[in-house]
Amino acid sequence: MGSLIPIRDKGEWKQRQVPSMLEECRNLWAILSTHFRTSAPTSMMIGFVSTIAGEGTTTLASNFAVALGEQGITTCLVEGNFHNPGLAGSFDVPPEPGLLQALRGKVDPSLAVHRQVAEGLDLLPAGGSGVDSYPLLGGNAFLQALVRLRDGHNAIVLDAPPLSEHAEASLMLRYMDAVILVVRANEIRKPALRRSLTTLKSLGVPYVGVTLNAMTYELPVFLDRLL
Amino acid sequence: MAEQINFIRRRQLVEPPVQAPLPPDDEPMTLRALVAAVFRWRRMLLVLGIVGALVGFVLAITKPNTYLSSGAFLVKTGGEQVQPNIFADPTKALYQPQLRSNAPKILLSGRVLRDVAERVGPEEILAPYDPPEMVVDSLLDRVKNLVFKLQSFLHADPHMPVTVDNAVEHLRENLIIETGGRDDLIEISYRANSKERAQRILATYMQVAQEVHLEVYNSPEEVEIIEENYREAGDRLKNAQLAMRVFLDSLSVQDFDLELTSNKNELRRLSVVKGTTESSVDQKKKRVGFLEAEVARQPELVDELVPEGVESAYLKSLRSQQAKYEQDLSTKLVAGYREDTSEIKQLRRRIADIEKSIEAELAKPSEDVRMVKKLVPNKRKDQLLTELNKAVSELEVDQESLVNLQRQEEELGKEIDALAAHKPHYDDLAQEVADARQAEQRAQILLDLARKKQRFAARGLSSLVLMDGASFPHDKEGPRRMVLIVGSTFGALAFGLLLITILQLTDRTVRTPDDLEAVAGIPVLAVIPRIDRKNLRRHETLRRRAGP
Repeated sequence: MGSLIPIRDKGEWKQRQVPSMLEECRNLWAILSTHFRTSAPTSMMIGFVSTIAGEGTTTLASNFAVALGEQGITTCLVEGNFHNPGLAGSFDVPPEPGLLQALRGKVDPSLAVHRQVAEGLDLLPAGGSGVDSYPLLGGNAFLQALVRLRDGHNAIVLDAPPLSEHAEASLMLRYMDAVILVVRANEIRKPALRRSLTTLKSLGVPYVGVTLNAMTYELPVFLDRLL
Repeated sequence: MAEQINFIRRRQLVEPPVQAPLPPDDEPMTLRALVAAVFRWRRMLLVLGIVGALVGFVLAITKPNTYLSSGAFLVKTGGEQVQPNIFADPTKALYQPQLRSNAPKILLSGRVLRDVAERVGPEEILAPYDPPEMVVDSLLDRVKNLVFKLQSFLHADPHMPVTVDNAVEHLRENLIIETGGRDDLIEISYRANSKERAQRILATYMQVAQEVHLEVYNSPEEVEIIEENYREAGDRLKNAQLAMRVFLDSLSVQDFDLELTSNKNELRRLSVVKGTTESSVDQKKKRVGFLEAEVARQPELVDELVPEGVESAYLKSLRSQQAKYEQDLSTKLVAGYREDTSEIKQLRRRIADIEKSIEAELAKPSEDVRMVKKLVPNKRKDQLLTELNKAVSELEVDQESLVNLQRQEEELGKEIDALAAHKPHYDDLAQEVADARQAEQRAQILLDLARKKQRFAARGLSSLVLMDGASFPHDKEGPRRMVLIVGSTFGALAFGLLLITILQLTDRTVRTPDDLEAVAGIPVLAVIPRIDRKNLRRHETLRRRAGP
């Protein structure tokens, strides 16, 4: 409960202590673990994706990864969003080398990983910003990188780019064991959400559920109870 | 490598996640969602309420005070009904709904208003709003003076020319004329920004209204025309009655309908009597036939034991009974009784018994009577002959009566036919008499009304009787400033609520876990509140209540 977790506040990543967020991530893992055969699986890969940018995918994925690491599950957080990377800054590590260099074959993925950025958590940052990674994902490079990361990690958590904005999201997510769709309350419209779900379904991606992020409680308590 | 990954996936997941078809996107709006929308847009609602209140406040302070002077007329008929289309229903001539409904139209007519404008003066009617400046004693008085100046500035219309036409228009806008449903009272009010002006203008207006009303309903030559009409209606009635008299005399009847009806009744009576007589004739013919046959059957002479000496009283009694039974028998046979009926058989048996008794009585040796057989005249035949003659004479009387009845019936029929032939002409004449009488009555009513109106006019009396003169308004009539402010505020809030409802109806944003679950059709695994104090605290509270 005492961990500092990465939160994006007013456009900047900060380490903050938000018990609710961490608690929800722990609950999320508790629910997700029922989908797996063991409570401490080996090399399970969980992807977080949203429909549009700014829905809180990175925040949720990183907090989820922190929650896994706290539980003793050796976790590698992979930043797949090359368009708006921020995890390196959030965990205060150099942005390069990262996934981009690994995909280009310039560095071994296991060597690009920053070890122990938090308790039981390693980080593979994006390694670059504003790069079109679609051509790099066409071959087996991403798959090979995942296989390399699987060695020495019980879990791989992928922070995928937004589904409706970048096509590489679907290329990354197809290798995941479970995908969680992150929805930001009061932002996303129902038709866009339905399109995302349809896309995931057509890709054959095993999405296991959705999370509602940044929900606001609009009704006062007494009305909430009354209605 | 890919196989390795797929193997891992298969190994990791116990079962594939439920990927049910997406649910339809047609959720109805709930009360909860609407209330939540109101709270979401509460700032907009607040702004709208404030704007509404401000608008109401501005309206309230910029509208000058208005004062209402009131008066009332009582509509009392002075014979004016002579002018409207009274021929529609003369029975309603005595009422005055038309006069009452005409009165407001006359009161708002251009003629009345123009007369008032000219008499009062357009500059008085169109005088700009000019409240008296208050003596400044306090800050409130200063504020009031400022408001008065603002009102004067806003309501001054320097471009409006002071003309009679504009004054008439102004009068029409500010006059209020109310007529109660069936009341004869007309209430009139005039609204102005000054108490004195309101009373002054209304008083002049009511005076002019009375004069004009009297004038428009006054027409001296009207009585002469109506008198002429009355005379013509009287002549028409006389002519119609004369024609009817001549017609009746030509038919020699006093009352055509009565004559025709009584003749028809008499014909019906004759028909009944004739039927009865015919039936009687038939019966009598049968009796005569029977009697003739009986007479023919009877011999002239018959053997009879004739007692010599004196007959005993018993024997006389037997003979009397025999004669009576024979009489009964004859009557019944004439009446149509058959021989095999019990009455006839009984009578014949009794007669036979009596004959046997007589023979036995005569056979008895008696000292006083001795029976001797002789040929004597048939008494029975004599009796039958007498009855036959009587029946024949009765038959003749009935037959003669029947002939007379037939003749009477024929004559009466001819008479009825003649009357029926004249019936259309009679109906035309009767209709003409009725129409002429009705027209004469109407003309009489109109003449009475016209004379009444003439008398009123001669005395200079209007049918609009002044009940209440123009009152002096002590209190302002408007504006109702608080109502304006409150109404404007609530109006703006209502508009805001309507806007919010429309926004909510068209809103397709995902806001709650329920929304998300309804759209996705898969479970919501986690709900993370917005990172701010209010939402985090609320989330924590809810989570503690919900338990682990």
